[in-house]
Amino acid sequence: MTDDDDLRDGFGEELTAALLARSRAATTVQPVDTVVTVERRVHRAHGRRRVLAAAAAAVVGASATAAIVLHGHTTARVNVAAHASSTTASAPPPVEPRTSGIADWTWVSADHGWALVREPCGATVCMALRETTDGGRTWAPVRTPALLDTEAQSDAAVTCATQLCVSGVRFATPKVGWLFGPAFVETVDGGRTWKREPAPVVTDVEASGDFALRLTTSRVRCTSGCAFDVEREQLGTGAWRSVASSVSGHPSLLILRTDAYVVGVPDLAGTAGADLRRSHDGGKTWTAVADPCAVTSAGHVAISASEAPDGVFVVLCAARKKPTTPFVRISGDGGKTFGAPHDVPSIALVVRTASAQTILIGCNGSDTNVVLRSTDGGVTWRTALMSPFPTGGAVTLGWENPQTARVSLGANAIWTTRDAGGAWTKNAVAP
Amino acid sequence: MTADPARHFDAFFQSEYPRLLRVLSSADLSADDALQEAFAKAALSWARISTYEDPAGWVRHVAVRRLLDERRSSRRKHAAIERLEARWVPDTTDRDASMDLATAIGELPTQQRVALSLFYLGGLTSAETGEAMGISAGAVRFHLHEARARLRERLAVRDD
Repeated sequence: MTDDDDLRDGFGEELTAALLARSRAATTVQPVDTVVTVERRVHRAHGRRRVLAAAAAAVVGASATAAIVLHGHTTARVNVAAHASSTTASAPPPVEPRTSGIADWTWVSADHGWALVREPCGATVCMALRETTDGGRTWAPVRTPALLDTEAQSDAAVTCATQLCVSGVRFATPKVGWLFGPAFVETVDGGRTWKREPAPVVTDVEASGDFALRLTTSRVRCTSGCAFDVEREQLGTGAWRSVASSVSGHPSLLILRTDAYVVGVPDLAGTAGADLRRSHDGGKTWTAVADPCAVTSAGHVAISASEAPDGVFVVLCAARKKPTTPFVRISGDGGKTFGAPHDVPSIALVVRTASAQTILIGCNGSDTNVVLRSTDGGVTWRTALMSPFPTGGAVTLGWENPQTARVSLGANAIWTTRDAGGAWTKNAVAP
Repeated sequence: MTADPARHFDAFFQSEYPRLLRVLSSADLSADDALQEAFAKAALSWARISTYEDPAGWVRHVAVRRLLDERRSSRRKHAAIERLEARWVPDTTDRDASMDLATAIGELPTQQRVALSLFYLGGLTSAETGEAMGISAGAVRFHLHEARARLRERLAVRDD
Protein backbone atom coordinates (compact mmCIF):
# COMPACT_ATOMS: atom_id res chain seq x y z
CA MET A 1 0.00 0.00 0.00
CA THR A 2 1.43 3.40 -0.99
CA ASP A 3 1.14 6.62 0.93
CA ASP A 4 -1.54 7.73 -1.55
CA ASP A 5 -3.83 4.77 -1.11
CA ASP A 6 -5.40 5.98 2.10
CA LEU A 7 -6.54 9.07 0.22
CA ARG A 8 -8.26 7.09 -2.50
CA ASP A 9 -11.22 5.96 -0.46
CA GLY A 10 -14.95 6.46 -0.65
CA PHE A 11 -14.67 10.15 0.17
CA GLY A 12 -12.10 10.39 -2.61
CA GLU A 13 -14.74 9.02 -4.98
CA GLU A 14 -17.14 11.73 -3.84
CA LEU A 15 -14.47 14.34 -4.35
CA THR A 16 -13.80 13.09 -7.86
CA ALA A 17 -17.48 13.37 -8.69
CA ALA A 18 -17.67 16.88 -7.25
CA LEU A 19 -14.58 17.99 -9.13
CA LEU A 20 -16.04 16.58 -12.31
CA ALA A 21 -19.22 18.55 -11.71
CA ARG A 22 -17.19 21.73 -11.27
CA SER A 23 -15.21 20.98 -14.39
CA ARG A 24 -18.28 20.35 -16.52
CA ALA A 25 -19.87 23.56 -15.35
CA ALA A 26 -16.76 25.55 -16.14
CA THR A 27 -15.65 24.16 -19.49
CA THR A 28 -17.97 25.72 -21.99
CA VAL A 29 -15.30 26.82 -24.45
CA GLN A 30 -15.54 25.02 -27.76
CA PRO A 31 -12.30 23.49 -29.03
CA VAL A 32 -12.27 25.56 -32.20
CA ASP A 33 -12.54 28.78 -30.20
CA THR A 34 -9.70 27.63 -28.04
CA VAL A 35 -7.47 27.03 -31.02
CA VAL A 36 -8.14 30.53 -32.26
CA THR A 37 -7.36 31.91 -28.82
CA VAL A 38 -4.05 30.11 -28.65
CA GLU A 39 -3.15 31.29 -32.12
CA ARG A 40 -3.83 34.88 -31.13
CA ARG A 41 -1.74 34.57 -28.01
CA VAL A 42 1.23 33.41 -29.96
CA HIS A 43 0.78 36.02 -32.61
CA ARG A 44 0.69 38.66 -29.91
CA ALA A 45 3.87 37.38 -28.36
CA HIS A 46 5.77 36.60 -31.55
CA GLY A 47 4.17 38.15 -34.55
CA ARG A 48 6.14 36.21 -37.10
CA ARG A 49 5.61 32.79 -35.58
CA ARG A 50 2.55 30.74 -36.15
CA VAL A 51 0.96 28.27 -33.87
CA LEU A 52 0.26 25.03 -35.50
CA ALA A 53 -2.75 23.95 -33.55
CA ALA A 54 -5.20 24.37 -36.35
CA ALA A 55 -7.88 21.78 -36.32
CA ALA A 56 -10.48 21.46 -33.66
CA ALA A 57 -11.16 18.17 -32.04
CA ALA A 58 -13.82 16.29 -33.84
CA VAL A 59 -17.14 16.66 -32.16
CA VAL A 60 -19.47 13.89 -33.01
CA GLY A 61 -23.18 14.37 -32.70
CA ALA A 62 -25.18 12.26 -30.35
CA SER A 63 -27.51 10.53 -32.71
CA ALA A 64 -26.34 7.00 -32.97
CA THR A 65 -29.41 5.38 -34.34
CA ALA A 66 -28.17 2.48 -36.36
CA ALA A 67 -28.96 -0.96 -35.13
CA ILE A 68 -25.75 -2.29 -33.75
CA VAL A 69 -24.88 -5.54 -32.15
CA LEU A 70 -21.72 -5.39 -30.15
CA HIS A 71 -19.92 -8.36 -28.82
CA GLY A 72 -16.76 -8.64 -26.90
CA HIS A 73 -14.30 -9.91 -24.39
CA THR A 74 -14.24 -13.60 -24.34
CA THR A 75 -17.55 -13.46 -26.12
CA ALA A 76 -19.73 -11.11 -24.16
CA ARG A 77 -22.44 -9.49 -26.18
CA VAL A 78 -24.46 -6.30 -25.92
CA ASN A 79 -27.40 -5.47 -28.10
CA VAL A 80 -27.83 -1.74 -28.02
CA ALA A 81 -30.08 -1.35 -31.00
CA ALA A 82 -33.01 -0.22 -28.92
CA HIS A 83 -31.20 2.31 -26.83
CA ALA A 84 -28.32 3.62 -28.87
CA SER A 85 -30.01 6.96 -29.49
CA SER A 86 -29.52 7.79 -25.90
CA THR A 87 -29.52 11.53 -25.88
CA THR A 88 -32.40 12.06 -28.23
CA ALA A 89 -34.87 9.99 -26.25
CA SER A 90 -36.65 9.23 -29.47
CA ALA A 91 -37.17 5.89 -31.14
CA PRO A 92 -34.53 4.95 -33.69
CA PRO A 93 -35.67 4.97 -37.29
CA PRO A 94 -36.67 1.68 -38.87
CA VAL A 95 -33.66 -0.35 -39.84
CA GLU A 96 -33.68 -2.75 -42.74
CA PRO A 97 -32.74 -6.27 -41.70
CA ARG A 98 -29.12 -6.94 -42.45
CA THR A 99 -28.68 -9.81 -44.84
CA SER A 100 -24.97 -10.26 -44.37
CA GLY A 101 -22.37 -9.69 -41.73
CA ILE A 102 -21.21 -11.41 -38.60
CA ALA A 103 -23.84 -11.77 -35.92
CA ASP A 104 -21.58 -13.28 -33.29
CA TRP A 105 -18.41 -15.27 -32.76
CA THR A 106 -16.76 -17.41 -30.14
CA TRP A 107 -13.24 -18.67 -29.57
CA VAL A 108 -11.85 -21.46 -27.43
CA SER A 109 -8.25 -20.60 -28.30
CA ALA A 110 -6.38 -18.06 -30.40
CA ASP A 111 -6.77 -20.36 -33.42
CA HIS A 112 -10.02 -22.23 -32.91
CA GLY A 113 -13.28 -20.35 -33.25
CA TRP A 114 -16.75 -20.17 -34.77
CA ALA A 115 -18.66 -17.34 -36.42
CA LEU A 116 -22.39 -17.01 -36.86
CA VAL A 117 -23.04 -15.19 -40.14
CA ARG A 118 -26.18 -13.93 -41.86
CA GLU A 119 -27.28 -15.26 -45.23
CA PRO A 120 -30.27 -14.23 -47.36
CA CYS A 121 -32.77 -17.06 -47.72
CA GLY A 122 -35.96 -16.30 -49.57
CA ALA A 123 -37.87 -13.46 -47.97
CA THR A 124 -35.99 -13.59 -44.71
CA VAL A 125 -32.47 -13.95 -43.31
CA CYS A 126 -30.92 -17.20 -42.14
CA MET A 127 -27.93 -17.90 -39.98
CA ALA A 128 -24.99 -20.08 -40.89
CA LEU A 129 -22.18 -21.32 -38.70
CA ARG A 130 -18.52 -21.24 -39.77
CA GLU A 131 -15.52 -22.76 -38.04
CA THR A 132 -11.83 -21.89 -38.18
CA THR A 133 -8.85 -23.71 -36.75
CA ASP A 134 -6.16 -21.39 -38.07
CA GLY A 135 -6.96 -18.16 -36.30
CA GLY A 136 -9.52 -16.94 -38.83
CA ARG A 137 -7.48 -17.25 -42.02
CA THR A 138 -9.79 -19.92 -43.44
CA TRP A 139 -13.34 -20.91 -42.51
CA ALA A 140 -15.40 -24.03 -43.14
CA PRO A 141 -19.19 -24.43 -42.89
CA VAL A 142 -20.62 -26.34 -39.94
CA ARG A 143 -23.83 -28.28 -40.39
CA THR A 144 -26.66 -27.10 -38.17
CA PRO A 145 -30.44 -27.31 -38.16
CA ALA A 146 -32.10 -24.58 -40.26
CA LEU A 147 -31.52 -21.32 -38.39
CA LEU A 148 -33.29 -17.98 -38.76
CA ASP A 149 -31.86 -14.61 -37.80
CA THR A 150 -33.95 -13.44 -34.86
CA GLU A 151 -33.34 -9.79 -35.60
CA ALA A 152 -34.67 -10.13 -39.13
CA GLN A 153 -38.08 -11.41 -38.05
CA SER A 154 -40.72 -8.72 -38.02
CA ASP A 155 -42.70 -10.71 -35.49
CA ALA A 156 -40.07 -12.79 -33.78
CA ALA A 157 -42.40 -13.78 -30.96
CA VAL A 158 -44.56 -15.66 -33.47
CA THR A 159 -41.94 -16.88 -35.90
CA CYS A 160 -39.48 -18.02 -33.28
CA ALA A 161 -42.13 -19.94 -31.35
CA THR A 162 -42.13 -22.53 -34.09
CA GLN A 163 -38.83 -22.08 -35.88
CA LEU A 164 -35.26 -22.06 -34.70
CA CYS A 165 -34.22 -18.42 -34.31
CA VAL A 166 -30.77 -17.58 -32.99
CA SER A 167 -28.55 -14.56 -32.64
CA GLY A 168 -25.51 -15.87 -30.80
CA VAL A 169 -23.01 -18.70 -30.61
CA ARG A 170 -20.79 -19.77 -27.75
CA PHE A 171 -18.40 -22.68 -27.26
CA ALA A 172 -17.04 -23.63 -23.85
CA THR A 173 -14.67 -26.26 -25.23
CA PRO A 174 -13.92 -27.58 -28.72
CA LYS A 175 -16.78 -30.01 -28.16
CA VAL A 176 -19.41 -28.25 -26.06
CA GLY A 177 -21.22 -25.25 -27.46
CA TRP A 178 -24.56 -23.52 -27.87
CA LEU A 179 -26.57 -21.53 -30.37
CA PHE A 180 -28.96 -19.20 -28.62
CA GLY A 181 -31.17 -16.13 -28.63
CA PRO A 182 -34.04 -16.91 -28.10
CA ALA A 183 -33.74 -20.66 -28.88
CA PHE A 184 -31.20 -22.76 -27.03
CA VAL A 185 -29.46 -25.47 -29.02
CA GLU A 186 -26.56 -27.54 -27.67
CA THR A 187 -23.80 -29.62 -29.18
CA VAL A 188 -21.48 -31.88 -27.22
CA ASP A 189 -19.52 -33.21 -30.19
CA GLY A 190 -18.03 -30.09 -31.71
CA GLY A 191 -21.02 -29.28 -33.89
CA ARG A 192 -21.60 -32.63 -35.59
CA THR A 193 -24.99 -33.00 -33.89
CA TRP A 194 -27.26 -30.42 -32.26
CA LYS A 195 -30.09 -30.78 -29.80
CA ARG A 196 -32.68 -28.12 -28.98
CA GLU A 197 -33.00 -27.82 -25.24
CA PRO A 198 -36.32 -26.97 -23.60
CA ALA A 199 -35.62 -23.60 -22.08
CA PRO A 200 -37.11 -20.18 -21.69
CA VAL A 201 -35.77 -17.40 -23.88
CA VAL A 202 -31.97 -17.43 -23.61
CA THR A 203 -30.34 -14.12 -24.47
CA ASP A 204 -26.70 -14.71 -23.56
CA VAL A 205 -24.35 -17.52 -22.64
CA GLU A 206 -20.79 -17.42 -21.34
CA ALA A 207 -18.48 -20.17 -20.13
CA SER A 208 -15.21 -20.43 -18.26
CA GLY A 209 -13.37 -23.44 -16.96
CA ASP A 210 -15.88 -26.00 -15.75
CA PHE A 211 -18.99 -23.84 -15.60
CA ALA A 212 -21.30 -21.81 -17.81
CA LEU A 213 -23.79 -19.03 -17.17
CA ARG A 214 -26.79 -18.00 -19.21
CA LEU A 215 -29.39 -15.23 -19.08
CA THR A 216 -33.00 -16.26 -19.40
CA THR A 217 -36.29 -14.43 -19.56
CA SER A 218 -39.86 -15.13 -20.59
CA ARG A 219 -40.32 -12.98 -23.69
CA VAL A 220 -38.56 -12.75 -27.04
CA ARG A 221 -39.03 -8.98 -27.29
CA CYS A 222 -38.36 -6.87 -24.23
CA THR A 223 -39.27 -3.45 -25.51
CA SER A 224 -41.15 -2.65 -22.31
CA GLY A 225 -38.62 -4.34 -20.09
CA CYS A 226 -38.03 -7.89 -18.95
CA ALA A 227 -36.75 -9.49 -15.78
CA PHE A 228 -33.85 -11.83 -16.36
CA ASP A 229 -32.48 -14.75 -14.39
CA VAL A 230 -28.85 -15.81 -14.30
CA GLU A 231 -28.59 -19.57 -14.52
CA ARG A 232 -25.50 -21.68 -13.91
CA GLU A 233 -24.48 -25.07 -15.22
CA GLN A 234 -21.62 -27.24 -14.07
CA LEU A 235 -20.38 -28.23 -17.50
CA GLY A 236 -21.46 -31.65 -18.57
CA THR A 237 -24.35 -31.98 -16.15
CA GLY A 238 -26.98 -30.41 -18.38
CA ALA A 239 -28.65 -28.97 -15.29
CA TRP A 240 -29.10 -25.21 -15.18
CA ARG A 241 -30.10 -23.66 -11.88
CA SER A 242 -30.93 -20.06 -11.08
CA VAL A 243 -28.24 -18.17 -9.16
CA ALA A 244 -29.54 -14.60 -9.53
CA SER A 245 -32.89 -13.15 -10.47
CA SER A 246 -34.72 -9.96 -11.44
CA VAL A 247 -31.89 -8.55 -13.49
CA SER A 248 -33.21 -5.48 -15.29
CA GLY A 249 -32.34 -3.60 -18.46
CA HIS A 250 -30.67 -5.23 -21.44
CA PRO A 251 -28.22 -7.51 -19.68
CA SER A 252 -25.14 -9.29 -20.89
CA LEU A 253 -22.60 -11.54 -19.22
CA LEU A 254 -18.86 -11.19 -18.75
CA ILE A 255 -16.68 -14.02 -17.49
CA LEU A 256 -12.96 -14.21 -16.86
CA ARG A 257 -11.89 -17.32 -14.96
CA THR A 258 -14.05 -17.28 -11.82
CA ASP A 259 -14.89 -13.57 -12.02
CA ALA A 260 -18.25 -12.89 -13.62
CA TYR A 261 -20.34 -9.78 -14.16
CA VAL A 262 -23.85 -9.03 -15.32
CA VAL A 263 -24.21 -5.67 -17.04
CA GLY A 264 -27.85 -4.64 -17.29
CA VAL A 265 -27.93 -1.60 -19.57
CA PRO A 266 -31.00 0.54 -18.87
CA ASP A 267 -33.25 2.10 -21.44
CA LEU A 268 -31.65 5.51 -21.85
CA ALA A 269 -34.98 7.11 -22.51
CA GLY A 270 -36.04 6.11 -19.01
CA THR A 271 -34.73 6.94 -15.58
CA ALA A 272 -33.49 3.63 -14.20
CA GLY A 273 -29.80 3.12 -13.57
CA ALA A 274 -27.68 0.27 -14.83
CA ASP A 275 -28.08 -3.06 -13.07
CA LEU A 276 -24.51 -4.21 -12.40
CA ARG A 277 -23.67 -7.32 -10.43
CA ARG A 278 -20.46 -9.19 -9.82
CA SER A 279 -19.46 -12.65 -8.69
CA HIS A 280 -16.02 -13.82 -7.69
CA ASP A 281 -16.89 -17.47 -7.14
CA GLY A 282 -17.79 -18.60 -10.61
CA GLY A 283 -21.30 -17.23 -10.57
CA LYS A 284 -22.50 -18.99 -7.43
CA THR A 285 -23.15 -15.81 -5.45
CA TRP A 286 -23.68 -12.26 -6.63
CA THR A 287 -23.40 -8.76 -5.20
CA ALA A 288 -24.68 -5.50 -6.64
CA VAL A 289 -22.26 -2.89 -7.96
CA ALA A 290 -23.31 0.77 -7.82
CA ASP A 291 -23.32 2.30 -11.28
CA PRO A 292 -19.95 4.12 -11.40
CA CYS A 293 -21.24 6.34 -14.19
CA ALA A 294 -23.79 8.10 -11.99
CA VAL A 295 -21.46 10.96 -11.10
CA THR A 296 -22.70 13.71 -13.39
CA SER A 297 -25.72 15.93 -13.72
CA ALA A 298 -26.08 14.68 -17.32
CA GLY A 299 -27.41 11.39 -16.02
CA HIS A 300 -24.61 9.16 -17.26
CA VAL A 301 -25.23 5.43 -17.00
CA ALA A 302 -23.20 2.37 -17.83
CA ILE A 303 -23.86 1.11 -21.36
CA SER A 304 -21.01 -1.37 -21.64
CA ALA A 305 -18.37 -2.96 -19.48
CA SER A 306 -15.42 -5.25 -19.83
CA GLU A 307 -13.04 -7.10 -17.58
CA ALA A 308 -9.38 -8.08 -17.75
CA PRO A 309 -6.95 -9.96 -15.50
CA ASP A 310 -5.91 -8.62 -12.10
CA GLY A 311 -9.34 -7.32 -11.21
CA VAL A 312 -9.57 -4.80 -14.02
CA PHE A 313 -13.15 -3.77 -14.76
CA VAL A 314 -13.82 -0.96 -17.23
CA VAL A 315 -17.18 0.73 -17.61
CA LEU A 316 -18.28 2.88 -20.54
CA CYS A 317 -20.67 5.66 -19.57
CA ALA A 318 -23.17 7.46 -21.80
CA ALA A 319 -25.26 10.51 -20.97
CA ARG A 320 -29.01 10.83 -20.91
CA LYS A 321 -28.81 14.58 -21.48
CA LYS A 322 -26.24 17.23 -22.27
CA PRO A 323 -23.31 17.39 -21.86
CA THR A 324 -23.26 14.22 -23.87
CA THR A 325 -19.59 13.33 -23.76
CA PRO A 326 -19.18 9.64 -22.96
CA PHE A 327 -16.40 8.55 -20.68
CA VAL A 328 -14.80 5.46 -19.21
CA ARG A 329 -13.97 4.64 -15.61
CA ILE A 330 -11.55 1.91 -14.64
CA SER A 331 -11.52 -0.26 -11.57
CA GLY A 332 -8.50 -2.24 -10.50
CA ASP A 333 -10.24 -4.09 -7.70
CA GLY A 334 -13.06 -5.88 -9.42
CA GLY A 335 -15.52 -3.02 -9.39
CA LYS A 336 -15.25 -1.97 -5.75
CA THR A 337 -13.71 1.42 -6.54
CA PHE A 338 -13.18 3.31 -9.78
CA GLY A 339 -10.66 5.86 -11.02
CA ALA A 340 -11.36 9.27 -12.48
CA PRO A 341 -13.50 9.51 -15.65
CA HIS A 342 -11.71 9.81 -18.98
CA ASP A 343 -13.61 11.27 -21.92
CA VAL A 344 -14.13 9.27 -25.07
CA PRO A 345 -14.08 11.43 -28.23
CA SER A 346 -16.93 9.86 -30.15
CA ILE A 347 -20.23 8.03 -29.90
CA ALA A 348 -18.90 5.04 -28.06
CA LEU A 349 -21.13 2.03 -27.71
CA VAL A 350 -19.01 -0.80 -26.47
CA VAL A 351 -15.79 -1.16 -24.52
CA ARG A 352 -13.48 -4.15 -24.43
CA THR A 353 -10.28 -4.09 -22.45
CA ALA A 354 -7.10 -6.14 -22.42
CA SER A 355 -5.73 -4.48 -19.30
CA ALA A 356 -6.08 -1.30 -17.29
CA GLN A 357 -4.04 0.43 -19.98
CA THR A 358 -5.03 -1.09 -23.31
CA ILE A 359 -8.67 -0.53 -24.18
CA LEU A 360 -10.70 -0.74 -27.38
CA ILE A 361 -13.95 1.08 -27.94
CA GLY A 362 -16.43 0.49 -30.72
CA CYS A 363 -18.07 3.65 -32.05
CA ASN A 364 -20.78 4.39 -34.55
CA GLY A 365 -20.77 7.56 -36.60
CA SER A 366 -23.36 8.67 -39.11
CA ASP A 367 -21.73 6.68 -41.89
CA THR A 368 -18.79 4.88 -40.39
CA ASN A 369 -17.98 2.36 -37.74
CA VAL A 370 -14.82 3.13 -35.85
CA VAL A 371 -12.71 1.36 -33.29
CA LEU A 372 -10.62 3.55 -31.00
CA ARG A 373 -7.68 2.35 -28.95
CA SER A 374 -6.18 3.74 -25.80
CA THR A 375 -2.88 2.52 -24.43
CA ASP A 376 -2.82 4.81 -21.42
CA GLY A 377 -5.90 3.78 -19.53
CA GLY A 378 -8.37 5.90 -21.47
CA VAL A 379 -6.56 9.21 -21.17
CA THR A 380 -5.94 9.51 -24.91
CA TRP A 381 -7.55 7.73 -27.84
CA ARG A 382 -6.46 7.02 -31.40
CA THR A 383 -8.32 5.46 -34.27
CA ALA A 384 -7.39 1.80 -34.64
CA LEU A 385 -9.79 0.88 -37.42
CA MET A 386 -12.34 2.74 -39.48
CA SER A 387 -14.63 1.42 -42.16
CA PRO A 388 -17.41 3.11 -44.09
CA PHE A 389 -20.64 1.24 -43.61
CA PRO A 390 -23.39 3.52 -44.82
CA THR A 391 -26.35 1.25 -44.15
CA GLY A 392 -25.63 0.91 -40.49
CA GLY A 393 -23.89 -2.25 -39.49
CA ALA A 394 -22.46 -4.12 -36.62
CA VAL A 395 -19.28 -3.55 -34.72
CA THR A 396 -18.05 -6.70 -33.09
CA LEU A 397 -14.93 -6.69 -30.99
CA GLY A 398 -13.23 -8.67 -28.30
CA TRP A 399 -9.91 -9.72 -26.81
CA GLU A 400 -8.72 -13.30 -26.73
CA ASN A 401 -5.67 -12.45 -24.65
CA PRO A 402 -3.71 -9.26 -23.85
CA GLN A 403 -2.17 -9.24 -27.34
CA THR A 404 -4.84 -10.71 -29.59
CA ALA A 405 -8.04 -8.88 -30.40
CA ARG A 406 -10.57 -9.24 -33.15
CA VAL A 407 -12.90 -6.72 -34.75
CA SER A 408 -15.67 -6.88 -37.31
CA LEU A 409 -16.91 -3.62 -38.76
CA GLY A 410 -20.08 -4.92 -40.31
CA ALA A 411 -19.00 -7.00 -43.27
CA ASN A 412 -18.19 -10.72 -43.40
CA ALA A 413 -14.60 -10.13 -42.38
CA ILE A 414 -12.60 -10.18 -39.20
CA TRP A 415 -9.70 -7.91 -38.43
CA THR A 416 -7.14 -9.45 -36.10
CA THR A 417 -4.31 -7.87 -34.16
CA ARG A 418 -1.64 -9.87 -32.40
CA ASP A 419 0.25 -6.90 -30.98
CA ALA A 420 -2.48 -5.34 -28.83
CA GLY A 421 -3.91 -3.19 -31.58
CA GLY A 422 -0.86 -1.86 -33.37
CA ALA A 423 -1.24 -3.77 -36.64
CA TRP A 424 -4.34 -5.45 -38.04
CA THR A 425 -4.89 -8.09 -40.68
CA LYS A 426 -8.17 -8.81 -42.44
CA ASN A 427 -9.66 -12.21 -43.23
CA ALA A 428 -12.95 -12.98 -44.90
CA VAL A 429 -15.27 -15.31 -43.01
CA ALA A 430 -17.42 -16.62 -45.84
CA PRO A 431 -15.92 -19.82 -47.27
CA MET B 1 7.54 11.40 -33.59
CA THR B 2 6.04 12.49 -36.88
CA ALA B 3 8.30 14.29 -39.34
CA ASP B 4 5.92 17.24 -39.43
CA PRO B 5 6.18 19.20 -36.17
CA ALA B 6 3.09 21.19 -37.05
CA ARG B 7 0.98 18.10 -37.21
CA HIS B 8 2.63 16.77 -34.11
CA PHE B 9 1.78 19.81 -32.06
CA ASP B 10 -1.70 19.81 -33.51
CA ALA B 11 -2.22 16.25 -32.37
CA PHE B 12 -0.70 17.02 -29.00
CA PHE B 13 -2.97 20.00 -28.52
CA GLN B 14 -6.10 18.14 -29.51
CA SER B 15 -5.22 15.25 -27.30
CA GLU B 16 -4.10 17.08 -24.20
CA TYR B 17 -6.00 20.34 -24.05
CA PRO B 18 -9.45 18.93 -23.23
CA ARG B 19 -8.02 16.61 -20.63
CA LEU B 20 -5.95 19.28 -18.89
CA LEU B 21 -8.78 21.77 -19.08
CA ARG B 22 -11.13 19.32 -17.43
CA VAL B 23 -8.75 18.76 -14.54
CA LEU B 24 -7.62 22.32 -13.99
CA SER B 25 -11.00 23.97 -14.44
CA SER B 26 -12.25 21.93 -11.50
CA ALA B 27 -9.71 23.82 -9.41
CA ASP B 28 -10.06 27.25 -10.96
CA LEU B 29 -12.80 28.53 -13.21
CA SER B 30 -10.29 30.65 -15.10
CA ALA B 31 -8.03 27.68 -15.81
CA ASP B 32 -8.54 28.01 -19.55
CA ASP B 33 -6.64 31.27 -19.43
CA ALA B 34 -3.63 29.72 -17.76
CA LEU B 35 -3.83 26.61 -19.89
CA GLN B 36 -3.94 28.49 -23.18
CA GLU B 37 -0.94 30.49 -22.11
CA ALA B 38 0.90 27.31 -21.29
CA PHE B 39 0.08 25.81 -24.67
CA ALA B 40 1.15 28.99 -26.40
CA LYS B 41 4.52 28.73 -24.66
CA ALA B 42 4.74 25.10 -25.69
CA ALA B 43 3.99 25.99 -29.30
CA LEU B 44 6.73 28.59 -29.36
CA SER B 45 9.31 26.11 -28.09
CA TRP B 46 7.81 22.97 -29.53
CA ALA B 47 11.02 21.73 -31.14
CA ARG B 48 12.55 21.48 -27.68
CA ILE B 49 9.53 20.57 -25.59
CA SER B 50 8.45 17.81 -27.93
CA THR B 51 11.65 15.98 -27.07
CA TYR B 52 10.78 15.90 -23.39
CA GLU B 53 9.69 12.65 -21.89
CA ASP B 54 6.37 14.17 -20.82
CA PRO B 55 5.41 17.29 -22.81
CA ALA B 56 1.97 17.24 -21.26
CA GLY B 57 3.55 17.29 -17.84
CA TRP B 58 5.51 20.35 -18.86
CA VAL B 59 2.35 22.15 -19.99
CA ARG B 60 0.56 21.09 -16.83
CA HIS B 61 3.40 22.41 -14.70
CA VAL B 62 3.42 25.77 -16.51
CA ALA B 63 -0.35 26.11 -16.27
CA VAL B 64 -0.44 25.17 -12.60
CA ARG B 65 2.36 27.58 -11.79
CA ARG B 66 0.41 30.23 -13.64
CA LEU B 67 -2.67 29.43 -11.57
CA LEU B 68 -0.71 29.58 -8.35
CA ASP B 69 1.16 32.73 -9.21
CA GLU B 70 0.21 35.06 -6.41
CA ARG B 71 1.30 38.15 -8.25
CA ARG B 72 -1.56 37.63 -10.66
CA SER B 73 -4.08 36.26 -8.22
CA SER B 74 -5.89 39.49 -7.54
CA ARG B 75 -6.39 40.37 -11.17
CA ARG B 76 -7.42 36.84 -11.97
CA LYS B 77 -9.79 36.72 -9.09
CA HIS B 78 -11.79 39.60 -10.48
CA ALA B 79 -11.85 37.98 -13.89
CA ALA B 80 -12.87 34.72 -12.33
CA ILE B 81 -15.78 36.35 -10.55
CA GLU B 82 -17.02 37.66 -13.87
CA ARG B 83 -16.61 34.24 -15.42
CA LEU B 84 -18.28 32.70 -12.46
CA GLU B 85 -21.37 34.75 -13.04
CA ALA B 86 -21.34 33.99 -16.72
CA ARG B 87 -20.66 30.30 -16.54
CA TRP B 88 -21.36 28.78 -13.20
CA VAL B 89 -25.07 28.27 -13.36
CA PRO B 90 -25.79 25.27 -11.18
CA ASP B 91 -28.87 23.33 -12.06
CA THR B 92 -31.07 23.94 -9.08
CA THR B 93 -33.01 20.81 -9.83
CA ASP B 94 -29.87 18.78 -9.34
CA ARG B 95 -28.56 20.03 -6.05
CA ASP B 96 -27.30 16.72 -4.87
CA ALA B 97 -24.51 16.03 -2.46
CA SER B 98 -22.00 16.16 -5.26
CA MET B 99 -22.91 19.73 -6.08
CA ASP B 100 -22.80 20.74 -2.44
CA LEU B 101 -19.34 19.30 -2.28
CA ALA B 102 -18.45 21.05 -5.52
CA THR B 103 -19.49 24.36 -4.00
CA ALA B 104 -17.50 23.67 -0.86
CA ILE B 105 -14.42 22.86 -2.92
CA GLY B 106 -14.69 26.30 -4.46
CA GLU B 107 -14.24 27.82 -1.02
CA LEU B 108 -10.91 26.10 -0.40
CA PRO B 109 -7.56 27.87 -0.80
CA THR B 110 -6.11 27.64 -4.29
CA GLN B 111 -3.30 25.28 -3.30
CA GLN B 112 -5.75 22.80 -1.86
CA ARG B 113 -8.10 23.02 -4.83
CA VAL B 114 -5.30 22.45 -7.31
CA ALA B 115 -3.97 19.54 -5.28
CA LEU B 116 -7.43 17.96 -5.16
CA SER B 117 -7.96 18.41 -8.89
CA LEU B 118 -4.64 16.98 -9.97
CA PHE B 119 -4.73 14.10 -7.50
CA TYR B 120 -8.35 13.02 -7.82
CA LEU B 121 -9.64 14.18 -11.16
CA GLY B 122 -6.27 14.07 -12.88
CA GLY B 123 -5.44 10.72 -11.37
CA LEU B 124 -1.86 11.78 -10.55
CA THR B 125 0.13 10.46 -7.64
CA SER B 126 1.09 12.82 -4.87
CA ALA B 127 4.62 12.89 -6.30
CA GLU B 128 3.35 13.83 -9.76
CA THR B 129 1.01 16.40 -8.27
CA GLY B 130 3.90 17.87 -6.33
CA GLU B 131 5.99 18.03 -9.47
CA ALA B 132 3.27 20.00 -11.23
CA MET B 133 2.82 22.34 -8.28
CA GLY B 134 6.49 22.75 -7.50
CA ILE B 135 6.18 21.29 -4.00
CA SER B 136 7.06 17.98 -2.38
CA ALA B 137 4.84 14.91 -2.36
CA GLY B 138 4.58 15.25 1.40
CA ALA B 139 3.34 18.80 1.04
CA VAL B 140 0.73 17.58 -1.47
CA ARG B 141 -0.55 14.98 0.97
CA PHE B 142 -0.68 17.63 3.66
CA HIS B 143 -2.81 19.85 1.42
CA LEU B 144 -5.03 16.91 0.56
CA HIS B 145 -5.56 15.93 4.18
CA GLU B 146 -6.24 19.56 5.09
CA ALA B 147 -8.71 19.93 2.25
CA ARG B 148 -10.53 16.73 3.13
CA ALA B 149 -10.78 17.68 6.77
CA ARG B 150 -12.07 21.12 5.90
CA LEU B 151 -14.62 19.75 3.46
CA ARG B 152 -15.88 17.16 5.91
CA GLU B 153 -16.23 19.88 8.50
CA ARG B 154 -18.16 22.19 6.18
CA LEU B 155 -20.44 19.45 4.95
CA ALA B 156 -21.14 18.40 8.53
CA VAL B 157 -22.07 21.97 9.43
CA ARG B 158 -24.48 22.16 6.50
CA ASP B 159 -26.06 18.87 7.43
CA ASP B 160 -26.71 20.22 10.91
